[in-house]
Amino acid sequence: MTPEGPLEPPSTVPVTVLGGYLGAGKTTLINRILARASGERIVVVVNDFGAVNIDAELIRSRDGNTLELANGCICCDLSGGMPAVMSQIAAMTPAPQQVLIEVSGVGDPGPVAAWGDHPGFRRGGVLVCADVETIQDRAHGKWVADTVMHQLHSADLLLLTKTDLVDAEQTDAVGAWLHTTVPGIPVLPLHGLDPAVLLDIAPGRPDTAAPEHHQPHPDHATALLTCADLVDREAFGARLDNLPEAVVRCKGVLRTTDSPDRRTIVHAVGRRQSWEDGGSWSSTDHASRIVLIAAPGSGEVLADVVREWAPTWSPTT
Amino acid sequence: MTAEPTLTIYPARLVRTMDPARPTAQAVAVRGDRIRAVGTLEELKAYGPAHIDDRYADAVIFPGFVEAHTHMGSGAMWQWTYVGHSERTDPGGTRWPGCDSIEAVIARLKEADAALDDPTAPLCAWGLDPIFFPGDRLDRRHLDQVSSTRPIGITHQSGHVMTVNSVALKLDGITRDTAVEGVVKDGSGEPTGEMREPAAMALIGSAPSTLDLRAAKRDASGIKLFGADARNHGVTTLVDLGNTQLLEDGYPQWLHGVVDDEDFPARISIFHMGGGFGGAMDVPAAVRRLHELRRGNSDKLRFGNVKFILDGSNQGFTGRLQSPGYLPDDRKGIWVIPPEQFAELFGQYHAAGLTVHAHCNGDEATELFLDTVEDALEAHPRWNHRHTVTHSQLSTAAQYRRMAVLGMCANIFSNHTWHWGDQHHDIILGPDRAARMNAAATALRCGVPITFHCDTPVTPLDALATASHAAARLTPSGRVLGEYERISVPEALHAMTIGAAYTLKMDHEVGSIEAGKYADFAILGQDPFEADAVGLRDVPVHGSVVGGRHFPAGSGD
Ligand SMILES: Nc1nc2c(ncn2[C@@H]2O[C@H](COP(=O)(O)OP(=O)(O)O)[C@@H](O)[C@H]2O)c(=O)[nH]1
Ligand SMILES: [Mg+2]
Ligand SMILES: [Zn+2]
Ligand SMILES: [Zn+2]
Repeated sequence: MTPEGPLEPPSTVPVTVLGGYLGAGKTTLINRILARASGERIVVVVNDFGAVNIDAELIRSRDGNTLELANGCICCDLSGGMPAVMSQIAAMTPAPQQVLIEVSGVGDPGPVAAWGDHPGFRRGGVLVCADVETIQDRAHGKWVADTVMHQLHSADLLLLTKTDLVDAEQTDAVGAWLHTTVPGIPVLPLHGLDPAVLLDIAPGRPDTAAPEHHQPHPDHATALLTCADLVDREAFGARLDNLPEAVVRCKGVLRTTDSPDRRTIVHAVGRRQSWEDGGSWSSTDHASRIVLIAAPGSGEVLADVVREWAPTWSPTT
Repeated sequence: MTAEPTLTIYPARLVRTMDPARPTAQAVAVRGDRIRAVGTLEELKAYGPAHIDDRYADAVIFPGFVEAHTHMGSGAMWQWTYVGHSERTDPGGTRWPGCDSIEAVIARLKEADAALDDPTAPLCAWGLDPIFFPGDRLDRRHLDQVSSTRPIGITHQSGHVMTVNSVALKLDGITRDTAVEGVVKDGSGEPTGEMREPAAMALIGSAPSTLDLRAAKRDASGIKLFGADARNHGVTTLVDLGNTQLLEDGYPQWLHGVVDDEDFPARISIFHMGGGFGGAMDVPAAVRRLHELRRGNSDKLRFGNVKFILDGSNQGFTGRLQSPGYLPDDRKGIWVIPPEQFAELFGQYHAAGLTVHAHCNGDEATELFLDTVEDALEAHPRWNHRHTVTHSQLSTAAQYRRMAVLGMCANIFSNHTWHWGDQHHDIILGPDRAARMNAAATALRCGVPITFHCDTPVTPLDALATASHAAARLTPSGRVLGEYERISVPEALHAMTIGAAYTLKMDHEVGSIEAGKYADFAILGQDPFEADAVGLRDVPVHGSVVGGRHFPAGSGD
C-alpha cells in the first residue's frame, strides 16, 4: 500500500518478452532474475513451439511460478496454450508483479509482445539476447539468417550475452555491427547489468519513486528527477527516445498537460515506452517525478543527461 | 456333428488384391480377423468347410485404404458448422457443399442459426478461407445479418484469424478502446469483428476458436466420428500424426478402450510428437515410454513412431523455402524448431531405433531433414528405418534422389493441387514451382517409396479423392498443375494402400489382400482400375471391413 491511500487504480502487470536464438542465454537470464528475487511474484512462461519441459526444468522456480505451454499454429496441432495461460495468470490472487515470457529460439518475439495488450497487463518490452560469439555467423548462416534478423528487429533492447567468452574488442565489434544492422535499437552488454532494472520487480515502483528510497541497484547509477511544470506527453516521449542507450530504464509518474488531474504512469525499457493512467493524485503531492537508471559504469552518461534536462527537471537528493 | 465352419468366403464381382503376384481374384476367404486365402471359388474350397457370404457378390473388394497423415481430433470439428470453400461430407454422410461466396457463408450460418433452439447459444464455424474471396472481406456486419442474439465466431482455415459478430464483441467487451494488437478496426475506429493471431483471438470467449484439437483427442465421441469418416471412405488404417499426450498417465490406456472396441471401424497408428508443437523433449523418457507402449500394442492401436514439425504451411507463407522465396516477396517462411535442436532430438530417436515422420512443407525443411538423416546415419548406421518426409510439397528432384539413397520415404500432400492449386500458381509460388509441387512422378522415377495424404481436418479424409488428385493434378479452375508429375491410377492406388502401409512399417499386415494379413477391405461399387484419373474420386464406397467385421458406410452414428 502506498502512502497515497485508496485511490490507486488496479495496476497493470508488465509482460516482458525474452527473445533470441537457441542458446543465446534467455533461460540463463531468467534464472538470474529468479535467483535474485526474494518474494516478488514473478510468473515465467516458456512459449515454445516445442515442449517446454527442458527449459522449464532448467528454470529454477524461486518464489516464481513457471507455467508451461506449447503454443501451436499452422496446419497441425493447434493447441490453445497461450490463451489458457494468460487467463490463468489474470485469475491469480494476489496478482503477479511481473510476467516473463521466454520465446522459442526460432520464434519472433515481436508478435508475442501483443499479449501485453490484454486487459490487466501492459507491454514490458522485448528484450532480445544476442550471443556475441555466434550472432554474426548466424545472421549470415545457412538456415536461420532471416529468423535471427527478425528477432533482432523485434527488439526494444538488445542484450549482448557471453561477453565473458570473448575479448572487449569482439564485444565492441558486435555492438557496432548491431548498430548498423538494426539501427535505432539500443544495445547493452548483459554482463554486470542487474536484470531487475529492466523489469518491474525491483523496489522503486514509479508511484512510490521517492527520494527516501534506498539505491536499489548498487552497480547502477540512478537519478531521481522532479518537475514542477505540466509535462507535455509528446515532448517527454521524444526526450525518452533521445536518451543515450546506456540509460536502460525510466519509470515515472507524470502530471501531463492533457490529464493534469490524474497521474500518468510511464515506463521505458530500451526503445519501448508504455503509458497508462495512474488514477487520481493524492492531496499532498502533484509533482511529476521520474527515475532514470543507467547501465553499470555509465554514471557519467547519466550525469550528462541530468545536466541536459535541467532546469525543467531537477534532481532530488 | 460337424463344427460350425469358421471360414467365411466372400465372392465378389472382382477382388483387386494390390498383390502383384496375384493381382485379381474371384473371392476372398476370411477366418477370424485374418485373410485365409484369395483365389477362385474353386480354389477356396481346398481350405475346408466354409460359409459362403455373398453380401459383396456385386461389389469390388479392394484392400482397405491406409491414410498415413491424418489428425484424430478432426472428427470433433463436425460439432461446428463448416463454411469452407470445398465440398465436404461429414461422418454422418451429410454433404456440405463448398461456400464459394460470402453470401453462401451467410446462408450456411443462417441455416445453422435456425437449427439452434436457444437464441443465445454460441454458433461456432470453421474452414473459412478468404484467399478465395479476394477483394471482399467478411466482417461483423455480414455476421450480424445472421443473428443479433447469439455470439458467432468463425475460425479461418489458417487457424490464425477469427471473424466474430457484434454480439460476440459486446459479450467479450471488445470496443474501439480495446488496444490489443490484432483487433482489426475500421476507418472510424470501431472493431470490424476480425481478430488476427492468437493474442487477439483469445479475447473471444463467447464463441471461441474451434482449433483446440488437444481436447478433441480426449473426446471419445469425436474419435468415433473420425472412425466413421474413415469407414465411409473405405479407409481401414489411420494415423494420428502427432500426439502430444502419450506421456500422460492413463491416456494411452483410455485410447485402447476406444479403439480396441470391436465396433470401432479402423486401426490407428498414433505418432508421438517428438518436438515442435508441444512435443515432449525429454527424449530418453519418451523413448522408454514408447517402447513400453509398443509392448501393449493391440491389433488395432499402435504406438511407437515419432512425428516432428519443421516448418509452417505454404498457403500461409510460412513453409520454409530455399531461394527464391515466395512469389510476392522474398520471405522464406519460418522454422518451428531450431535446426540444431531438431538434429539433436532426431539423433536420439534414430539411435533408439524409432521411425520418424517429419512435416516439411517447404524445400528448405526437406533439405534440413535430409541433412539431419544423413548425419544421423553416419553416426549411427541403420537399415530399414523408413524415416518419412511428410507433406514433401516442394521437395526437389535432387532431394528425391537423396531420399532414395538414404532409404527414406515421402508422404506427399497431393490434395493441395486441388484445394489450393490455383492459389499456389497465381499467388503463393508462381507457375514454375506450383507445377513441380508434390512431385509424385519424380519421386517414383527416383525410386522413393511414396504415399499421399489428406491431413484432415486440413483437407477431407477421402482416399480415392486423394489418389485421384495425385493422378490428375487438376485445379478447380480446370488447369493441370504440372502435367509431367501426374502418375497412373494404379500407381496412385498403390500409394494409398501398400505404399502408405510401408511408411508405417505395417505392409506385412495391411495394404493388400494376401493370406495371413488382416481382413481389411474397402467395399467399392466399381473397379477403380477402370476409372480415369478424374473419375477415380467418384468411385462409390459401400463401406469397409476391418478385421473381418463389416462396417457399411453411413451406418450407426
Ligand atoms: N559463458 C557464458 N555462458 C552462458 C552465458 N549465458 C548463457 N550461457 C550458457 O549458454 C548455454 C545456453 O543458455 P540458455 O540460457 O539455455 O539459452 P536459451 O536457449 O537462450 O535459453 C547454457 O549452457 C548457458 O549456461 C554467458 O553469459 N556466458
Ligand atoms: Mg531457453
Ligand atoms: Zn503438418
Ligand atoms: Zn498434419
